[in-house]
Amino acid sequence: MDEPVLKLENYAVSFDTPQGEIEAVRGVDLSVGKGEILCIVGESGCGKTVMCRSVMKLLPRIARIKHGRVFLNGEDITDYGEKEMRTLRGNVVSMVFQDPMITLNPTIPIGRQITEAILKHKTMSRKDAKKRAFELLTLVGIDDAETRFHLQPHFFSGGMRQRCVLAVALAMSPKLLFADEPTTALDVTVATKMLDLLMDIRKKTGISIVFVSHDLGAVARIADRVAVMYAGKIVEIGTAEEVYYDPRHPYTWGLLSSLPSLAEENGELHSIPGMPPQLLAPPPGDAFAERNKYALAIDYEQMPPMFKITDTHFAATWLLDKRAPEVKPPVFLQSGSGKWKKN
Amino acid sequence: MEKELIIEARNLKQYFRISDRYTIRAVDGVSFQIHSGEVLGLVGETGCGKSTIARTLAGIYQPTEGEVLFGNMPVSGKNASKEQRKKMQREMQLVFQDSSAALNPRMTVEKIVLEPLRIQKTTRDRAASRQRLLELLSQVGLDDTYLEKYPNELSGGQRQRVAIARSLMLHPKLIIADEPISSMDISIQAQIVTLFQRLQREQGFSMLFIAHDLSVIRFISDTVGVMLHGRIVELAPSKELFDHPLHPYTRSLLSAIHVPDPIYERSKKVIDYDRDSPLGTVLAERSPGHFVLE
Repeated sequence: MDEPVLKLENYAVSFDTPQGEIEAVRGVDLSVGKGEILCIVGESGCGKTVMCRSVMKLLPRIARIKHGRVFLNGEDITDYGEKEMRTLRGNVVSMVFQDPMITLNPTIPIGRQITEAILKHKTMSRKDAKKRAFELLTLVGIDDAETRFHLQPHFFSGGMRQRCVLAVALAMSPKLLFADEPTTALDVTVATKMLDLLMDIRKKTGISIVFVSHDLGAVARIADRVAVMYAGKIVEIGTAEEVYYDPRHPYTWGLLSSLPSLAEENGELHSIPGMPPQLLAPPPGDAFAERNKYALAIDYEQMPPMFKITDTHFAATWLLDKRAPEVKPPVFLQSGSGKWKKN
Repeated sequence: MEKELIIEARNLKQYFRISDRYTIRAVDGVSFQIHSGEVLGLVGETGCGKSTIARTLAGIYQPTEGEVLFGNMPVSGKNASKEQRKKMQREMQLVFQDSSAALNPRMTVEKIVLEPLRIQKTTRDRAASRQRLLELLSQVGLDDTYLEKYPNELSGGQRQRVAIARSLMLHPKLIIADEPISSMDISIQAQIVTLFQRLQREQGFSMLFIAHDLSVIRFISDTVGVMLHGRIVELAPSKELFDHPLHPYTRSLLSAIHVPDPIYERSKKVIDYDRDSPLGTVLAERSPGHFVLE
């Protein structure tokens, strides 16, 4: 197998605040292969964004890598400083955020914002940079690039702005793209088109994508693999088929069953009770135990290890221990594929 | 038995004049009725005019044309007397999308939830209002440890619960919820929708529930209206709309709903709807209760 584009080993990120240490990411092992789309799913505050930003080294000073290593394209970048990161950002790894207007300058025409990204990294003539910018705008599905090149961001709709941001992010053909909830603020039909665009770009350029979202439904279309995160840890990871059709962690069950499209006719929505724990003093055992109706006594005392289900599918729950009582997931999750085909 | 009519919009139009040459037709001829105990869901994409409708219904905007009747009395306009207006403000409550903007950051939860009582001066009995406060908090799933907290100490879901508690304080007849769940995590969305459902069943108020996500609205609404360019293009009972969508735009929205099934999702074709294609002019009844713009 090829060398992974991104590899995290027992990776942990903490924030030192006046209130104490906040353990935002608590020991994550992860690898993203070439041309792969990995989706990281979890509720707000589970550490998914912190993890991505930490790889980009875009976190404020109070954040530090507590332990573990991070490899980008085979290179150990754990101890890299700002100077080294500057050559990597944009060139090797890039990021798209939820709100395009944070990335875009409202006063500068779109075209110039793209050529700026190119010229910062490469010595080339303005003319060539402009040509490349046209290519990029076409790549992200903005037609009539000629006229739109000279327009400021406020002329564009939300979906179009997000496409422009994507063009900037892809300017230097990076190997890895972090997409942090890029579709959350968009309408459903526009979001779907955005997902298709990402898949199309992956096909054309072979880029690897780490897609962060809180909505398991929204990522089913593009995910090769899915990692479910809770309280700074990955609690379940596997191929899309494994996680959606054979989920093992009670938290994954909870996330899936709170999706409106899964609830029965005239039925009620299922929701996960309670809230994610504070990471100022994370509980010693399974952080999900408090909200988990299947929790065992050991869940409150000891952190579950990653149990292997198949070569690609792992889940961290004591329910998979051979001593645990047998627990079946909620009935409506057992039906597997094809349930929605009737529509 | 005919149900009591709570609110009615008659050929409502709301135009915003930007300049001499440019006028935005945010709402362009919308009519509907909400009866007692009924939940009307409005869906549509950004900019279709759904929030404008909410504001016009609440009397925040003066309609350009058409009228809104609450009970039998116009919501805005010169004819509404001060007392009528006060009564309306008591019986109609709003819940907004951005709960942090809707709650005063310098007031505690206790003060926020009690404020409607203070303004409307319906009671002077302190013990009774405190009891009502605690009752409301427990109804929305909070306990008395939250009384002294400020909005910034709460999560988004909790803040929205406080806003809901406040809106229920005066036993309203109608609640207008303008995208109350849009900025939340899916799991929290499910909690809040379930809460709205339960409260609505227990207390029987009517509701106008606005969202941009069809899949959520299905659970809470009796009737669903789909909006596009300031018009209602399809209006039907919830189940009917999902089972037999007639307007191509509704079909397009339905086809875009995400389902957690990777194999199905990957092969799914989203129906494209050309938003520039001309809309009809008449809302025609195709089957009982099922209206389509044609």
